[in-house]
Amino acid sequence: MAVTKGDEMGESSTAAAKQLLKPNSNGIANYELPWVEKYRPVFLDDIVGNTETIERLKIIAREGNMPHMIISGMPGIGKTTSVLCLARQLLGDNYKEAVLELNASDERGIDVVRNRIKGFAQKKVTLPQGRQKLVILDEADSMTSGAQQALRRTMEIYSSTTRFAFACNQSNKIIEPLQSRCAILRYSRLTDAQIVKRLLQIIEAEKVEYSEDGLAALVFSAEGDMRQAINNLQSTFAGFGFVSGDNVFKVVDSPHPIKVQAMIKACYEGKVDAALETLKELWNLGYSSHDIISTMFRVTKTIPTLSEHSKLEFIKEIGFTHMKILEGVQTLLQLSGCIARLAKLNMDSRKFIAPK
Amino acid sequence: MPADIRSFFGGKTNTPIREKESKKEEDSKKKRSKSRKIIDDSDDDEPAPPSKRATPKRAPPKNAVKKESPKGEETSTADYFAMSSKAKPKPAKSTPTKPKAVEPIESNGRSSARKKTTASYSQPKDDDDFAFLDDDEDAGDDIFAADVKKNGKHKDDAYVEVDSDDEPLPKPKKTSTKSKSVTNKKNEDVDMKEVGDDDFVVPDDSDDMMDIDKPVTKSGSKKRKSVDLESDEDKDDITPAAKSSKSKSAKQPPAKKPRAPKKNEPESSAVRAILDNIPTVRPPTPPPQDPDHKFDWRKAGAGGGNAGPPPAAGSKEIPVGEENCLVGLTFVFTGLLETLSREEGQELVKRYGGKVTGSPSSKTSFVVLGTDAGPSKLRKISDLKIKTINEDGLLALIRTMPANGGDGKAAEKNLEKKKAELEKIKKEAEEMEREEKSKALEAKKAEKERRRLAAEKGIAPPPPTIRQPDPSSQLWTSKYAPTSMNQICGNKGQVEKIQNWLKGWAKAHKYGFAMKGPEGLGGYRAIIVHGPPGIGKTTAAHLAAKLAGYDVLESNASDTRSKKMVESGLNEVLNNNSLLGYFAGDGKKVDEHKKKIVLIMDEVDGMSAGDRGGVGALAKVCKKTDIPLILICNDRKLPKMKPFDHVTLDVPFRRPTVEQVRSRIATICHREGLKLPPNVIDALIEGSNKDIRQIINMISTAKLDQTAMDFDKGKSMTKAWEKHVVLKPWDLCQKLLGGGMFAPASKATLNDKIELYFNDHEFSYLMVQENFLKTKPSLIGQLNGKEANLKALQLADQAAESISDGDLVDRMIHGSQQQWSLMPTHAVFSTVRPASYVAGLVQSQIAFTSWLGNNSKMNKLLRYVKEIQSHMRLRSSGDRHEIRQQYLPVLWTRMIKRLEMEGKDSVDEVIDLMDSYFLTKDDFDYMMELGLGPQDQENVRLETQTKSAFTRLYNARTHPLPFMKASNVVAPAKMTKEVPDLEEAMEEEDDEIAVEPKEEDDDETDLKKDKYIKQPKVKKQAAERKAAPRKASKTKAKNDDEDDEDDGSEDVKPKKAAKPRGRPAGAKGKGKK
Repeated sequence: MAVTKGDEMGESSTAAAKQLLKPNSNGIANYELPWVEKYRPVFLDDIVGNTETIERLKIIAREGNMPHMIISGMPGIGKTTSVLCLARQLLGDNYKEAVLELNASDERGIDVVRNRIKGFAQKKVTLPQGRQKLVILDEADSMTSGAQQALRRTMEIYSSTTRFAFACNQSNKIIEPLQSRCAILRYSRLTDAQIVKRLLQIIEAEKVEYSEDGLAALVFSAEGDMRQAINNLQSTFAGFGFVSGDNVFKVVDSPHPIKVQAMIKACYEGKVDAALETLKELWNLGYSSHDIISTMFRVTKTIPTLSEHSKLEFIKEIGFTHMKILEGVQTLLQLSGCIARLAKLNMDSRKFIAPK
Repeated sequence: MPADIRSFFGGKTNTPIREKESKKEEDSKKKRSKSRKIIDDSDDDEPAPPSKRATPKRAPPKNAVKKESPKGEETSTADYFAMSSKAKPKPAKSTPTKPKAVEPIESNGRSSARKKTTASYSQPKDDDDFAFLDDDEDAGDDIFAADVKKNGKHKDDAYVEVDSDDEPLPKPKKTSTKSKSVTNKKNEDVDMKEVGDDDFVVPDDSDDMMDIDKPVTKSGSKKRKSVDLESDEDKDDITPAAKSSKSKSAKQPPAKKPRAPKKNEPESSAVRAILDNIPTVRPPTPPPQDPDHKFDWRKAGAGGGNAGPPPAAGSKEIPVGEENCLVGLTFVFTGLLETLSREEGQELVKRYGGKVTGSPSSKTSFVVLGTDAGPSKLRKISDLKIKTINEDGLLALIRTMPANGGDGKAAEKNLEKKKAELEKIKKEAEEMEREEKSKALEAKKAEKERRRLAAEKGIAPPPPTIRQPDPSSQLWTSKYAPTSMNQICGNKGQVEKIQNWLKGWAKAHKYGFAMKGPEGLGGYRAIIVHGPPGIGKTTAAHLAAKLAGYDVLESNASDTRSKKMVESGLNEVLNNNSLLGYFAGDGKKVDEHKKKIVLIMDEVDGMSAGDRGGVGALAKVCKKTDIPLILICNDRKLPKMKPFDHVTLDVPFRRPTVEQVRSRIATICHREGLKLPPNVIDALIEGSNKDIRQIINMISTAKLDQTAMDFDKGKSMTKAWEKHVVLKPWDLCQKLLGGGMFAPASKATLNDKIELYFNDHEFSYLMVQENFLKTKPSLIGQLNGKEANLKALQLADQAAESISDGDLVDRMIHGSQQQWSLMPTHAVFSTVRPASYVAGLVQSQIAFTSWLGNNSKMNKLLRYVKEIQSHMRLRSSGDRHEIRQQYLPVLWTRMIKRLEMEGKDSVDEVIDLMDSYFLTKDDFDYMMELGLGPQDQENVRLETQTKSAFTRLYNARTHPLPFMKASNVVAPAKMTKEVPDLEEAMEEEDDEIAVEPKEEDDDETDLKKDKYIKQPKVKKQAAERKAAPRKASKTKAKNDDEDDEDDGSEDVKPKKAAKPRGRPAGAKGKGKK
């Protein structure tokens, strides 16, 4: 794990770097809130990662005239947060009446679009020059295409008074005409350094005891998902009181991908014994065969050193073993068999012919 | 090497008429004339020395040609080479003694200036000779070398074979010289020079080579040699080309356009030198065009070389050149380049300001040639005499050209053009500004007026009613929306068409839309505008309406447009006038023309849930509307849009071209103070797929934090802004099997490929399964003949195996276990792995999966067998499979075969047999359908008489019933009045009723309802019916027969439970059929 604590790179703004994290004051009793909500950024300055895009949003927040936007990206990287921050900074006190926020929990069928959203767009709200009402459609990829169609002209006709912001995981679920009307901002995963930075701030604020490898484990298991990292931090802290590597993995409960990767690599090099050793280790840690095999699948898919052909061959074996396990044979033997077959794939086939 | 190209030019000077002869002949003629022509060239220059080494062949035509030798020739070449020689490090001024001596004789002392320069002029000619000679000499080797090479490389490279077939014996030598890099040739070349040449030429020549050596640094030494060789020869080729064309232009005005000479005049020396020094390659001769040969696009599909990956991707380093160094140059790419994929190559050219066009034209400066170039392009190249270079040449060009194209002519011209463009942009921007100002002024004026009025009346000035939206707080897309005709990018003709239609509408309406008019505009009450998003459909419609003096009424997807709403809502509107015709705002004049209104229905294809029946109702309105109606949609081809066929006039909008958008974007950029070089604008336009709105959105976002953008930034921005849309199954399949995703050069990761599966996880794998045998796998590679077949077979086997594995996984997912966690595994097994084997060139149309149809057929047949088995089970102990496999074939011979052979007489016994097995009439039909092989339904020829006798008799008798389902007894048929839930079903039922007489309907229901219970009564009824209306037994039989078939078809589709329902079920089944 090449994460260094003091790495300042990739921080979205100097403000976020300097600022000592303070819990949000928008709850009644802070200690009851999950940390994710407690430490959700309120201002764009606090947002971590995606520096360039956030900087642009800051300019928009300052100068107004926000374009229609689509923000897309993986979960837990600050899409909703940044839209909300932007709205808050743009509209300030008018936030309540000038922002319509709808997410997947609200009904957003075509009727809602035609009545509620259109009605909101037609509504008159006195706003300072250069500011417009804002409709935030969170999780927009779950909107039906009919509802999206109905938004098309609404977005144009009322663009002088109302702007739209969509947040979604997959931008391909948004129909092309809407994409054409919007500025498309793609958020990338947060880097490890960015996550560490933020975690440390929270750790400091919550006075969590931690060890280096615990932090590394948190970052690793989060895979660029800030929300998950914070959630894991909180649950580890709540469960064990101390954030160490082992504790984190106990909470996260998935076989360590690095180990699995080493195992796959050993197979690739034909070192059956080493691979089986690692497997045994994982097994003894108490992971179920489901977990192990699905981690193997995921790791094989993305392992950089293997050629695509061998990846596909490996996946074939892993897939079959996965099927067997799902059929109910959840034994170490199956996994060992899988490992052996994987190793055999890259070994000289002549070795397996019995000498006469 | 240069033999061919020269022969083209030479051939043309001498035989201009021949060109007009049929193409077939042309080729061979050219070749025949080749040898002669080549000598022409060389002989002009050097009458004395060549005799030494000239082959006997050459001698005869010498004299004749000499006289002919064109007058203007020397000038051009002389200039030409004088220029190039200036740039060369070692001018060859000192050398020319002999040629000079020769020269005066020919030129007749035309100009002294010319003489000065003749020095360098003759030298390259020498090279020419060598090249030619050398070709002759090593032709023997070459032929084989070339053949072997070609065969090894590309089996479908037909040039060599074709050429040599065409030609008489001695000529193949020349064709064989096509093979590019034969090393021994080089050696011989050098040898020849030493042996046969006058001493002074050699150093110069080698110097030449050195020159070219410099830019070409990459690739193996072997390669370099060959390139050098070619380049130095080919450079000379250009000379005669220029020469001859010039001379021709002087002599025969209508001949070839003189490109080379034009270039000669003001081109700056430095650039000229660079351009000259770029190693060119000789394009292979285009294959003779066979008039009988039809171009088979399927076979030639790969030919363009744009499909596959480059064979040696990434092995060469791409140089970093000066900014905009290729400005003003136009490139055409053809064939498969060595290391660059075509896209990469084109991007490279664009990055440095060059232009890439699709096919060579007179404006093309270079053709970048790869292997397997398209024959038509080659033909054009040779016709137009365009410089051809290979990849190395392109890279060398980038490396050596000065920034902004230096002071080259092309660059200068480009600069001028740019200036003009800039001026235009400035003018437009100014105009825009003026407009804005005048608007603001007007607003102020109106405001003042109002205040004045208010003051007069003695009231406090009212607050400004409408606050003009501040332009700074407007979206750029609305701020820069076109306000006049000339601001529209592209589709101008279409907009005009709309306008004309609107203008002529009133008149057409008067004539009842009977007069079609010149463009057919007068025949429609409504038009439909369709095209992809972001190209200005809505804008154009609004603008056209405004310009034609209409007031616009708009309805779009955000309004409910169900059947009812359309009917009631529109009818109110249809005979209205606009208020604007009578009143106007304060201080504005009433515009009489504004009375007319036009209804714009936007996003017609956006009518979806909640808009039931809206499309149909709208189409009806289109037929009788009294106001013009403009419909707008994205996809006209959707089945949903079918009702508008023939009702509306189609006005397709196309994506504008880059040129059309560029100036508009540049204007906006200028206006907003954003610095975008033209190549960046081009990249943006192309990257966004010419979606004007998105480009404007993009630059408005970019403007937020930067004032300039370079090429890479623009590229990355378009990449990030790329619109992601879910791919259709066809595109998915195309991408997986034919998209080069699995090529070694492809950057697609495994995850990307798996993602493709998830784009449509219900169809992607079925599509792969349907089409995986239709490709020519790229993994076959260089193999030929049987080996290739074997490899293809192996690959198909592996793919099929993987698909079958995938099926196993699929069973676990969609079967009883519902193991959805196996989805990624399924993706790999069923889609990615098979595709990885067979990916390559898709050789035929991608078909939609036939699995769905086959699967439902299988289910149907399965149901039949089940039914038969359930009826037979009192008599036979076999299960479903046994019944199908053992009983049915026997029963078939005993029943159907017997009826077929013995006819009417056997009917009784057959029915007895059926009764003994409790088989019903339906089961009989099922058995027909279940027949396979020799028992196939298609092969059974039952006589109509037998059939009707069978039906009649069967209906007349009572039949034993093994058991009855409860559902069969209750609910006798009066479910008829069940309300169909779909409109289509309703319509189809209507049809049905219209076609069939009513009485039959009734009988049918009765018969059905009472099927098992009141058999005798049914019989009576049936008999009565038959007896009553018709006398002749023949017609009766026929009638029966029809009944019969009705029964049969009824039972094809409806589900088992629906059977006793009678009519509606039958109608449905039929309707679907």
